[in-house]
This record gives sequence, C-alpha cells and structure tokens, in this order.
Amino acid sequence: MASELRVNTLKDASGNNSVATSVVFAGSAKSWVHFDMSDFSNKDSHNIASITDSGTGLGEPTFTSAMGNALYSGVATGGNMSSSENGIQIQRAQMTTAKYRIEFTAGGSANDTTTMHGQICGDLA
Amino acid sequence: MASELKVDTITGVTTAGEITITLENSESQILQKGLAKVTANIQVDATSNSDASLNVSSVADGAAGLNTLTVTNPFSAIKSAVPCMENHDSSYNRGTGVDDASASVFILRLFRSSTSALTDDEGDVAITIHGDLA
Repeated sequence: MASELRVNTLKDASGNNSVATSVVFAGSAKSWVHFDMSDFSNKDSHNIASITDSGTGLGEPTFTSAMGNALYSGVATGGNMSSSENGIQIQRAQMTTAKYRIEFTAGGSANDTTTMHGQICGDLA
Repeated sequence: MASELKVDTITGVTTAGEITITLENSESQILQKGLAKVTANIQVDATSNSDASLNVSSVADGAAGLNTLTVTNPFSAIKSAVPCMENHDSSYNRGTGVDDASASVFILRLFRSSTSALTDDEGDVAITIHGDLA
C-alpha cells in the first residue's frame, strides 16, 4: 500500500547521523544525461525530455521539469577522448530554466563527440 | 510541527528502489534518481582514494595520466553511468575525460593542455557518477 511520510529530519536507528530532509532534497541531482552528439541518441537520463542538435559540437538537453532559475550548477565531462585538445563547456548565456547547452571542441574546432555527460544540481521550479 | 524519523534503511513499497520525494514547489522526484552512486577523490600518480569515497572497489594507477576506477556495485548498463570529473591542480593547463570501459570500470584521463599529453603532474581529481545501478 502506498504511504507518505512527512518529516523534517532523518536519523539512523541509533539516533545518530542526522540529516535534514531539506539537505537530501537540495543535494539530489535534478537532472543527468548521457548522450551521443553524433546522432543525439539519449543513452540514459533523468529529468530530460529531449536533446536538440544545435549545430556541430552543440547539444541542448531540455528538462522535463523546469529549474527554478537559470543559475543552477551544471557540469559536463566527455568520454573516450584521446587528447587534451578536446574542450567542453556549458555555455552560460544559453542556460535557461528549461534547458542548457553543452559545447564540445576538438583541436579548437566544434566536434560531435560520441560520449557526453551532463549533471545539474539546483532547485526545481 | 518539526518531526524526526530514525531508521537505518528506507525502501520503496511498490518498487524497492523508487521512493518519491516532494521537492521545491511540490515538484516530485524519485529519490534514488538524484543520488550520486559513486564519489571519489584520486591522486592521479597513485592508487589513493579519499575517505569520502562511495561505492569504490579499487583504483589502479596506469600509465601517465591514466587511472582505472572500479566500482563495487555496477551500473545497469555501460551507458547508464553519467560521470563528471574535475582536476584540482593549481594549473589551468589541464583537461580531463572519463571513458566508460564497462558498467563497472571507468578509465580516468588527465591531460596537459599545452602539449595534449597525458600527465601525472601534481594532479588529483574528483569524480561523481550518477545513473542507474544494476
């Protein structure tokens, strides 16, 4: 049977290791995604409605549930890279409550890498 | 009214791994989806791993700039892991990458940007991995 608990604080059964539920909620990632820029296939994700091809080396994951503001924490890392000539950034000007944009370059030029990861923390709307 | 719950384990009723939490402005989320499944801080020139590590079985030192992180509890699939890694060197001259070798093994790479070569110099890296466990 479904049930619902409303509590402010969680502790272990011994009464130690206290954590406020607000910390659990704030510390949970609100979105993550693993996708391929060559075909924009979504390998696995959480709170991602779609991923848009915005040009060579540019991918825009769109959230299913929007963020509360555009100042959330976003990090991205690529995989299967053979050189430090690869650069990755989340474009600040393209961060909105609905989506964000990851830019990938190889050797100074935009490139559609096959493995890209993004993680978002912050408050939902 | 403030309240406090004392438990060692929380398990979903309908599905063990799915506990819904209410977030900001009544948005809801599966608790387990938002939790990091792996955390580690690793010296790139060694096999050391910090006390803050979570779900790390071992860290192996490879050639320059390469370390292999093996997790204790694997992910559900090779593409179901979402790693993000940062270098803590004081130099700006670094680049990082993570290869997903399998659902439980990740190859960490640290580059020197000026030469594009892998490097062990002065580096420690922090990595978090989200995703679905097996």
